[in-house]
Amino acid sequence: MSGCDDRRAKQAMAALFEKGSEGLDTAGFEQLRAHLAACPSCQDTYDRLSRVESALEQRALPRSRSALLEQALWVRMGKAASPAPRTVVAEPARRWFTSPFLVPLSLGAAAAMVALMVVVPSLQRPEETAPEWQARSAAPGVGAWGVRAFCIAPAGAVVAEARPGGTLACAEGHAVQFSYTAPERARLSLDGTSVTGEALHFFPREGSASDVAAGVDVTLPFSTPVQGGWLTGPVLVRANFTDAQGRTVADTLVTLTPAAP
Amino acid sequence: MEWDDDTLRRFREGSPEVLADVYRAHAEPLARLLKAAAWRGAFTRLRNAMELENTLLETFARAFEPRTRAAYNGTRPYAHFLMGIARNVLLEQSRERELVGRDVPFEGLTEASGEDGGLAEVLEDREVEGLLAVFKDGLSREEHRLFELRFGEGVAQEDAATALGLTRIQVRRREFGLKSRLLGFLQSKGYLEDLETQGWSFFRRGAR
Repeated sequence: MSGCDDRRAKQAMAALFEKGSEGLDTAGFEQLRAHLAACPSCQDTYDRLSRVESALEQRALPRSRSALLEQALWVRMGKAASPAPRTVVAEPARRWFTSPFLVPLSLGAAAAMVALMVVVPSLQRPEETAPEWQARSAAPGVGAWGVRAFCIAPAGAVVAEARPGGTLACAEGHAVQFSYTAPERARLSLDGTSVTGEALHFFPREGSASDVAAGVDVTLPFSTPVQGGWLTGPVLVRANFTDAQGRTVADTLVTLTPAAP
Repeated sequence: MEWDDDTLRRFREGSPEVLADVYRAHAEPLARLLKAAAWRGAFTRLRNAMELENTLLETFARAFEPRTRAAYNGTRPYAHFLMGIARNVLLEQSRERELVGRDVPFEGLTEASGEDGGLAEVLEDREVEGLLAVFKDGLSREEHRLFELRFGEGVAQEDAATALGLTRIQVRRREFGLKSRLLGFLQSKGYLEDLETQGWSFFRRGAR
């Protein structure tokens, strides 16, 4: 039963089987699904793979598929929430930046992997190393509140990083991904202002602020593509953590600047 | 999962964490319900893995739209709420495909697995289970334990590593080796022959 010569699709399915959700990233999974939709032969193979995995795990939905579908879901929700094309008319209302590509876990995972490499050892480090590892906080010694920003290349690689108070240079076509550190549950908002004075709202997708759980370098569930000209000059992004009563518990600033592609 | 007032509020606000929790708590049960319905004779196309995944994706995408989130009251079981959405999705898909959608409740369906290919699928499932059993018989004791922990019980890599006295990286490597061998074994038995296992292309996640 052949009928399909697309080696990449077959390799992708093999990778999915052998490595689970680590074998494909979100984009790869989407490409595979697009291919499957038009290829009955590969659909049959995919079906057999699923049958084996379901039998292995005794699940209707193998874990790897569940994880990749979850990522596809966030991508799709991000696209659905993408802003309308920018108009020339000045609009005083703030612009909602809800990640047209919203590559939540593929890009997020890239950032998270980098973050984890940095963060995990920090949990066990003695106090004297704080300057190196404590940069997640905007105010060292006061508490571990803060956000970091990462610039993610289209292929998913982290190409730059900024710690609280730092500056992140990110080129058109890349994406900005934030992660936060909060010692306790709080409400978080990420807002900035473009060089043209336009209000930019990075997080949350809906509402003025969203609850976030306590955690260290928790990657936000979506990224913001650098496109459409919103990053033509320095953008000062303020991460505001508030308590349940709306009182500010911490503020962090990160500056985003355009970079040459 | 528990739907207390705080969870419901954050769900309605679209808190990514809560949405992820809801997805993870309900994806597998919904998949089971849909598959069971397919086996009983409703929407038999859901026996196809990709159709099932597409339906799941569409169902959750609709369930997580702001208006739909706002419509959930937190008292009705969310699984029922989801199933209602899934049913609408399936009926719409049927209409779009100009198929005759079987507009009957899932609960009311009769057993009909012997029809429309059901028997063949049952036999194929048995064949796969038999192949897996033969493969497992050929594993060493340690490999067998790893196989069971990771694939049978779904234990996290870290926990499996602890249980086996290995590092997580060792577990990861051995797991990959087992899966590769399993794939080779299945192919040697004529199952999944069509898969390419050599060489990589852009689908591969880059090393980081």
